[in-house]
Amino acid sequence: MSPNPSLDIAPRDVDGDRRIASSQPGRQRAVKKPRAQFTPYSLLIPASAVLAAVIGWPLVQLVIMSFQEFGRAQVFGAPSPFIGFDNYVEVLTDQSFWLVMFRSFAFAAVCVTSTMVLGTLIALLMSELGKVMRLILSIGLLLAWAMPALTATIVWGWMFDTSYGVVNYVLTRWFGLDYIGHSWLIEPLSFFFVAALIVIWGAIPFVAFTVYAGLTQVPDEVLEAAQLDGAGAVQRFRLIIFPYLRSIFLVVFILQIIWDLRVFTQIFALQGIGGIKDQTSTLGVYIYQNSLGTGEYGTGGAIAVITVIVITAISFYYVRQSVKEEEL
Amino acid sequence: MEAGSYDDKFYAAPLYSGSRLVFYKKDALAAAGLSVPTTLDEYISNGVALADANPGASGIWWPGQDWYNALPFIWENGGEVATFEGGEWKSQFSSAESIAGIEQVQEVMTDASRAPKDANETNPQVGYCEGTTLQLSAPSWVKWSILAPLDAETPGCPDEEANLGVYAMPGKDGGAAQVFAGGSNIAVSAKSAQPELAKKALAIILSDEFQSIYGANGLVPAKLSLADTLGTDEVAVAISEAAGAARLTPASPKWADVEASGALTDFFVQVAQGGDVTSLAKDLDAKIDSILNG
Repeated sequence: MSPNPSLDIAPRDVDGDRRIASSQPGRQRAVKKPRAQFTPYSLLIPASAVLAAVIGWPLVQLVIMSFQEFGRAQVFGAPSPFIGFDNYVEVLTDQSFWLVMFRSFAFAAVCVTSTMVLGTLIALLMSELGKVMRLILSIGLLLAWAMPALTATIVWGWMFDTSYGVVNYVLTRWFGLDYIGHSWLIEPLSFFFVAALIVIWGAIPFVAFTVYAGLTQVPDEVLEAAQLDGAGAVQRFRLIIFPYLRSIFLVVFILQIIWDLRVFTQIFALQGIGGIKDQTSTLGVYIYQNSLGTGEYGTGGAIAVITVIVITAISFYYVRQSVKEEEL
Repeated sequence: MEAGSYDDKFYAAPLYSGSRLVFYKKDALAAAGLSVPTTLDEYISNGVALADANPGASGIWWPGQDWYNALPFIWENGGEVATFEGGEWKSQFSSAESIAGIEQVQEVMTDASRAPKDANETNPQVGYCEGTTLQLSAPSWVKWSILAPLDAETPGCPDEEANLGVYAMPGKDGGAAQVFAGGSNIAVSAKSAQPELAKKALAIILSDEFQSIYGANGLVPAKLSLADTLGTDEVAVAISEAAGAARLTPASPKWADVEASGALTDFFVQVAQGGDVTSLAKDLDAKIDSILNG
């Protein structure tokens, strides 16, 4: 390795030839070096600035607010005194918070697992299909992906409507079951079944497209060789495709966990259609109910900060895990 | 009415309001041999009788989330939503009087209504026009939803006009029940950049001429003197009857938080499902107390 540590960071490290060339002392290198180091970082500036303004600043505000007494009066200009960890103590000693937390994790676990499995299966299907069928499938997936979550929830809500829903109609008319006037949202488990259906339906296209894009990068000759050696479809997926796509799966998996843990639109809209809010709230909706709903911005902020910490911790764990495995 | 005041201070002028009325199908009521009820008890028994006589139809259509319609039952039985005593709000849903009212609500929701137990009260014209809703209590402007032209964005059934009857919900001892007045207030913002102009605009809005436009369109004007602008038809008579006895939700700055928390809709959805009224009301009171005094 080069004795100069700064060279290890620079991108031209990748190329062995250039490293030898550039390690020779000379005027040219002295001029080039700072610019070469600055350019990649300067490209990050626009995105970082946007992120700092749009996500960073509100996050800072949120953290500050979570340590303050902040209700409706404070929105209208009353002073907001710092009260230490009072908001956090209140949230963490509230039994309903832990119920919501448990509910969110259970819901996310079901959604993430189903989305990953079904999305991967559809990706595999896409790589086997002919051109025409693949195009039709892609268009179908794109439409589902392009549908705003609120619109989708309203339409799914109509399908599961108690009085006029097509689901009750079909179950009653075609399958001879008594689903006349059956409410799908009034029982929490049934509510989450409908909610999961909407969330999974909306998330599958992303997984399917991403995994399909990855599948096209798996070298055919490796798969062919494995087939000749007698590897079945499951073995080929487990031993060849999965290791090739490991990083793609990881990124998609983490994104799904984040999205499903903080799901808001689908649950919020469904609660407006039916069901009992108290028994069906997940973290995203619970934060809304506490801050914008009941005006307790301080405690709402504390719940939000706890959620951010939990989600970051989970993501960090998986990223570290995968980095470790790659190092082995 | 005391709309717009809090702590004996006047904050905002009433703008207009809309009372809740009962809309019904004249032919259905006649076919069951019933007449327009004169007491709350009769209103309930009529609803149950209509539902029994027309299987699958609602004698009184009442989806579980519609808590506004429950207030007259509580008030007529002498109950309150919340009272303010010694500097503290006390939610009153579990008082003996309120429980009596809520038990009547439960009777209507379970025996007279075939509406979904957990649905909200939007688009009441659908069931009415379809024929599965024989009576419903709703804000006065629902008349226009029911009679909307067939080619409207949300179509109604204009051919039902002759059959559409309306009356003010009757009280426990006759007369009009104390119903919930939904409406708006108007005030000049404390931080207004043009307070003088705003006050002039307010004067125009509260003038007889402007307020008469509300009356002519079926909304209750802010001034008692303009009651006759409502007109003299059946709806107008019902509106003025109901408006005279209309009441408001507690005048607490935090009442909006109670509504937004969803505690009331959750409560009445569970009442509609046949839940135990007394224990549910106690839980609700605890929740509302903590919001109003929190």
